[in-house]
Parts: sequence; structure tokens; C-alpha cells
Amino acid sequence: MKKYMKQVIILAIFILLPLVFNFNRSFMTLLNMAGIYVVIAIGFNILLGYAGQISLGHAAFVGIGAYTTAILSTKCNLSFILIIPIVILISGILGFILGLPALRLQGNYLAIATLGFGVAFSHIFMEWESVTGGFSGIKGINPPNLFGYQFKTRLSMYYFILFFIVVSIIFAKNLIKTKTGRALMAIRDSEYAAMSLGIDVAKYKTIAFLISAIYAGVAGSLYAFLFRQVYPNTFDVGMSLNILAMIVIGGIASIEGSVVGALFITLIPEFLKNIKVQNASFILTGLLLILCVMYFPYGLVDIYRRFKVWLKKKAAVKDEGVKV
Amino acid sequence: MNKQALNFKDITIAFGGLKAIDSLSFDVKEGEIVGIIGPNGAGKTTLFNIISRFYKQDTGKIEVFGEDVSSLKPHDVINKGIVRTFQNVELFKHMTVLDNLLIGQHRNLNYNIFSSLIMTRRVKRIEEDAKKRAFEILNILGIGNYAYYYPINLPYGIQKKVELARALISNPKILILDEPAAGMNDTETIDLSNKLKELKDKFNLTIIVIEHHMPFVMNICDRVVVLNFGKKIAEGTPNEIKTNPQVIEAYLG
Repeated sequence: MKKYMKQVIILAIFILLPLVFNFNRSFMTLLNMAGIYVVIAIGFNILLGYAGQISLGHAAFVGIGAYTTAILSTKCNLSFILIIPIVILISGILGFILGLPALRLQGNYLAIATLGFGVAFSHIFMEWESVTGGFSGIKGINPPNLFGYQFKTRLSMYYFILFFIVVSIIFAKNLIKTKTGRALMAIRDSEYAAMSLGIDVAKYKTIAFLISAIYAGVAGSLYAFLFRQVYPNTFDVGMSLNILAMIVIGGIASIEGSVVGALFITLIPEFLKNIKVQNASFILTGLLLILCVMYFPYGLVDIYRRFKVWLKKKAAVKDEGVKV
Repeated sequence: MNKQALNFKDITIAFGGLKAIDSLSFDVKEGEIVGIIGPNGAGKTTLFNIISRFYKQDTGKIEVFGEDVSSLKPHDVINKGIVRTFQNVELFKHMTVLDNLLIGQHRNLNYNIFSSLIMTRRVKRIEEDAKKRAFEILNILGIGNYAYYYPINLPYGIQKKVELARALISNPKILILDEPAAGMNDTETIDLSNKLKELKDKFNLTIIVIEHHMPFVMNICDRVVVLNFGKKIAEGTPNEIKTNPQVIEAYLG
């Protein structure tokens, strides 16, 4: 198992992190939020980075996951073990529906269509009072219960979410190194070549939307379990744009990039709160977006990648120098 | 006489008012190498795009081994044993050469998405076999050492070979090559034509090739079809074509 040493060490760090530092409750909440965004970002990167399809309405799926969880938990008293498969099913179906316009639209047009989808759903959450509770939302969601253990504290939810992150990463990694992932990348790079090699472009575009919708839906479910209440204005266009920013800053077409981007965007306001400039985090995020698009189109992980290449080159030059 | 591999019956396609291909009929026998030549805009690549089903002909039909393929979707064409290369190399540029070849085997990898999510032993084995086969093909073409390169970092001639390898790996019966020698010098072109003959025998291929490089066409083609303004103006062996006055006029006039 030497092959996975690096991954195991990183996982161990994240397991020990809250135990060693004993963070306060508000920072734990933020960490949990970051974890939820990690799940969304990984799914969104499969769509945007690997399949090359844009969506500006992904907050809708997070909202659908959250509301489905809220309703099933408060009205039907279902266990999370049943709720999550139902969330997967519903967000999958809606992802499939959003994927349909993608078969006809590209680029900017697809962006606008998905934006419309997102706006429509944020209004459904607000206006469909009999189901979503309107502006007052839904309160009193039961915490996840596993064999009598209740995930009630922020710390227990941290591990609950961490489990989903690990599964998300493993599934995403396996997906991109096998047939489906390659087909998605092929469509992104050249639709004509992909078709001529037997890849059903319509099918795989739909799959990309479906998978990313499921990731977002499950993340929404985690959100509902974390706060045990949901409000409609959480799942607005701002959230969709935030998800996009995470991928662009973290690294497009990179699972590690999704993780880095999600952690970065969620945690940065916390580290900037001592600066006495209003909305310093927004300014920094905006600035970073511009810098990334201009100089690091493959995001923050690309800086690390380039640094490694630079180190290698430097070492090579040094060796040469010794010989001479 | 060999049986027919491809048969074009009265194909016409028009874009707006322009007839890109005008009632074109010819056939290709199994095991043949047929060259398609003609001045720019003669409709050669359009013809290939019709075979690939990227375009649908207005009238006429195409038969592959006697079967009408006019109603096929583009991604089903490969299942009839037809695979192509492109005029301006269409490699997947953000994927390694090896991954490009794995996509060439896409339809042969029989596992579903759920077993790939959890990487079952069967998926691992199928993937390993696919990689082995990719290296086999790369080595046949002498480009095995480029497996982990990105196409963008490779010289044009090598990119063309990678595209050929990607086509070959799907076990085609009919190989369609759109200007395989473009951008190559004379030695490379001769190498390529020898290689193609060798591959044809090794894999039992039927080949249709568009090419402007006349020595190449003369060297490898059993038969040549000459197009001009979408119409077939001549068909015959390379030697017949060379002396055909109409062909000379189309090219020089």
C-alpha cells in the first residue's frame, strides 16, 4: 500500500486537525461548510473541467438536495441512510433534465440556460410555501443517526462530512481514469474525433450533468444535516458563481484543485476578518480570479505543479554543473 | 473478384445552392487502397464527412459490405468497422498519447460505470489489457516512447502517426485517411506509404485515402477517383489517371 502513502498521510492530517487544535464552534462550522463545498466542487469539476460543459445553476441542485432532506426528515422521519439514496435519485433526474439543453447549446448560450434554471429553482424554494415553507424555510431536521449514534456536534459532523469527501474523491478519481472519464475528456477536446471513435456525445454529456448534479445534491443533503434548517436564499445565483470561482481558482480539470479551491474560497474570509477593509475577502477573491485567468489558467494547483518542474530543472542544472 | 467493401450510389449533397458533391457513384473492393484526388474544394473531405455521418447526403446511399448505412449515427459508424483520421489532426490535446489510444478502444471496453467507480478487479484487468494493446500498436508504428507525451509537444509527423495508431487500435476493416502525408517531407512520405502497405496486409484493411502528394498516391493506390467541383471526372489505375486529359486539365487549367 506504499502507493497510497501520500493520500493516507493527508487523510490522517485532516482526521487529527480538529482534535489537535480544538477549534471553536464557529470555525468548526466554517470547516464543515468548506467540506460541503469540496463535494460540490469535485462534482462541478467533472462537468466543467473534464466534460467541458458550463453550468451557472448548480446551486439549484444543492438546494434540491437540502430541501429533499429537510422534507423527508421532518415530515417522514426517514433515516439518512434512506434519505441520501432518494436525494441521489431526485438530483440525478433533475441533472438529466438540465443536461438536455446542453445537447443543443454550447458556451455562452448554455451558461444562460443553466443560469435560468438556477434562478427558477431559487424562486421555487421561495414561493412554493406549502412544500418549502417559503421564506421561513424548514426547521427541525433530525441529525443523522447511525446505530443509535447521533451526529449532533460540529465535530461529529466534521467526520460525517469527511467520510463523504473521501468517497467523493475516490469515485471521481476512478471515474476519470476509466472509460467514462476519458469519454468526457474526449468530448471536451474534440467532439468530432470522439464521435468517430464511437463515443455517443449526447449520452456522455448527459452523464456529466447527472454526476455533477448528484454530487451537488448529496452536498445539499449534508448542508441540511449540518445546520438542521434550510432557507431559500442560501441557494441563489451567488452560490453557483462561488462554485465556479472555486474551480477556476483551485484548478480546472483537477480533483486536487477542486479541494484546494473549495477550502480556499470558504476559509479566506475567516483569515481576512482582522483586516479593517469592508468585504476584503470579496476583493481578494476577485483579484485572484483575474490573476488566475491571466497567469494560471489551471489554477492554484498549477503553481505547485510548475514549482515542482522548476525544482527538477534546477536539480538537473546542478548535476550538470558538477560534471563540468 | 473481391467483394465490395464500400459502395457509393448516386450521392448528392448541397450547401445552400452549392452542390459540394454531385451524383457521385463509385465502389471500393475489399483489400483495395483507393485514392481520392482533386483540386481544393472538389468535395473530398465532404465525402469523408458523409461516410462519418457528420453530414447527411441529400440523395443517394452508402453501403458498407452490402448494408445501407445512411441512417447510422456518427458514433455507430465505427461499429461497422469504419474509422477515420482528420485533415488537421484531431487528437485529444489535453490527454496523453496513451489515453488517446485508450479512447480508440472505448467501445471494446466492456464494463459499466458503477464497476468503474469502485474499480473492481475486472475493470483493472480490462484497463491493463487495453494499455498493453495500446503499446503494441504504438510499437508497430515505432512511436512507443511517446506514450506519456501530450500531443501538443510532439512534431506534426508524429501526431499524424498517433492519429493513425488511434484509428488502427479499434480493429477497423475500412480505414479512411484524410491527407495522411500532409506536412511530411519526401522521405517521411515514402516511409508512410510503405508502412501503410505493411499495415494493410497485417490488419486486412481496406483503405480510402485523400492525398495531394502525387508520388504517394501513385505508389500505394490500386485505384484513383478524381473529383472536381463535386463530380467524378475520372476513375482508374494510377497510370490511367496520370495520362487522362481531363485530369490534367482540372489540375493545370
